Amino acid sequence: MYLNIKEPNNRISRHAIRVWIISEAIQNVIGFAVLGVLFYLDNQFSWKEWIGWLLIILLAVSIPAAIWSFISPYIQYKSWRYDVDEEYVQMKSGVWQEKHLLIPMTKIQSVETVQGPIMRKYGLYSVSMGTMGSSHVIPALPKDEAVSLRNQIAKYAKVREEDE
Amino acid sequence: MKQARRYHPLLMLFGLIQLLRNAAFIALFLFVIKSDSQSFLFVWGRKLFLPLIALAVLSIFLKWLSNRYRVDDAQIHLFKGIFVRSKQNVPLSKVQNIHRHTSILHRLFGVTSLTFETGMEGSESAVEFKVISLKEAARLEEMISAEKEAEVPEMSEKTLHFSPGKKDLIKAAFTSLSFLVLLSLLASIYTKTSDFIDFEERGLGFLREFFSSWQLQAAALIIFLLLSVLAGFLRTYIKYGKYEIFSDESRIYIRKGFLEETSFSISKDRVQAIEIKQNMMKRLTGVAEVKLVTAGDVMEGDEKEGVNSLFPFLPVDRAYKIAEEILPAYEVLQKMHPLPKKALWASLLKPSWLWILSAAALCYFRPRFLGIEETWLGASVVLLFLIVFVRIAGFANARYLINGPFIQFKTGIIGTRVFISKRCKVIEAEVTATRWQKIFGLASIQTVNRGKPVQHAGMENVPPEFASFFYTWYKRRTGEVQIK
Repeated sequence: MYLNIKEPNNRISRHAIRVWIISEAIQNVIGFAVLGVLFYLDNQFSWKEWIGWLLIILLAVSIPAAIWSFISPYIQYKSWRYDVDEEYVQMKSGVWQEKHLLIPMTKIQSVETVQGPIMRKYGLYSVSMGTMGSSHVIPALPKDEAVSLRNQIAKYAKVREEDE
Repeated sequence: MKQARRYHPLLMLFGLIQLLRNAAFIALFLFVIKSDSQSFLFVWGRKLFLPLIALAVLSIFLKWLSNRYRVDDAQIHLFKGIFVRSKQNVPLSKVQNIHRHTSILHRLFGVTSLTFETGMEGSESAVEFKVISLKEAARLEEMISAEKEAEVPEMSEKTLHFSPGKKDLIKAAFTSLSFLVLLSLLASIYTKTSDFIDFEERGLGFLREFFSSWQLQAAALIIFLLLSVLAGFLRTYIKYGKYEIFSDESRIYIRKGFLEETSFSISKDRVQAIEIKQNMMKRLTGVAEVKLVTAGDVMEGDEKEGVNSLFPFLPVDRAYKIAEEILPAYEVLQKMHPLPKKALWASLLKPSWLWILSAAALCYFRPRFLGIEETWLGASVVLLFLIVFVRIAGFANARYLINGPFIQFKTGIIGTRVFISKRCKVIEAEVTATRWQKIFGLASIQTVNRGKPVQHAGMENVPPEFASFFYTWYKRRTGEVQIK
């Protein structure tokens, strides 16, 4: 282990991989369609030469990125861990960058469960919590787990510190 | 229960003056500058001008009549609205800091303005009394500060920590480059007025003839320089001449301004962090600015700018000491750890997308600057040097330290910023390590603090052992926060 930090225990739902792959695939299809239209327009209206080069570079970057987007969800899923206790929410994630996040319960201001259209198909929810500074998401939890986590955080987060 | 009060009657006068000021400008535009314009906008504008002014005057009066406030020992109650009534409650415990601003107009009538900042989101985050009698302001301020000090019944003595002497002011005048003030003032007057008046036609041609001899030019230049030095000192004196930092048992008070007086006070335990800032000029003259980071809004840009700053031109040693003096709960150390050598390599060897993309673009387009063929080569080399400089300077300036419950970061390239906070004031902690950093054996840490805007501070490329220590350090905060 690179960092001497105790990893949180809980994992997210395995279906997250499918959800991510589907949404990445949709994005890729849209992306390539736009790129295709641009190539067509470039050809039809003979745009400046450098635009053609730019499009070729974009295509050259997009292809490996598209392939990667089918692999990265597996690693992403493997890397995700979270933990919630009375005092802290801990999260660990990241493919290229290992990221450990620690938020005191007392600093959490709001918590909600969110479900997108693809997640609905797999009965998944993500739990999103807002602090005074930013908001953080635990993606893709089964419904029961997500709801109980949300309620748990809401209960713990009621406590306020003295000087707020 | 006490009756809700109206605001000070002079509020109407101040409202009217402000209205007049705004209206005068529109009137000038409508009736003088564009007086011949037959455009629909201006024709109607001229017709509607007086009725609208009358309406605005009426609304100022009605607002005064209907808006009220009441302060009890737990909350400020605000009653607003002429037709739609609304009531807002602000708990005293949410008030983060107090501003008082006395403009020249306020002074003329012996009143002041008072603002309580709550640090909440949205436009109604502050309770503002635009005009308030000195007595009432003192009463309200007392009530707010008393809310926090229930357990300290005796008002402790205020001690003066700092007030600038002659030497400080001279340094301030030099460091702030205030000698350029006159120049920029003239330039701004010229650009603003030249929109309306054609100088070339009227007068400037005459001036040019007048200054044609070199003796006159030299004399004019010397007089101008003398005037700018004088103006610079005068401005520094007016701005910083009367500057006082007080504190008592529980609060810090900053008062400043010569003609217009601004004061700021904050409860010590509401200070989220301390910032010690130096720009290039300040590094040359060895002075620094100490700022208190607060969760309440501190308006920037207008005359209230910098109210949270303890004198912006403190000698460096004094800056560190004063921070400790007024905040005994803080311990600030000047000696911090530098980054490890490998951090320099990690940052120097990291591919710069900015450079790659701009070099590629330059190489392809081959733009010519002053007809030089090799512009693309020169520009990309210069950019490379700049990037290398930024990276080396960033490495050289970086310092970090965890000292008991305190954390300190120093960052910067040309100017520097030291950020000091306490574990219990940090609201989020993050440790990251990219694959690139892992090759070199490095990691990054980041803290988030309350503030407006939210304060992100952190340090890149620290040793991973330190990053892990930082994580466990933050986890131990539970021991020192008190829970309601």
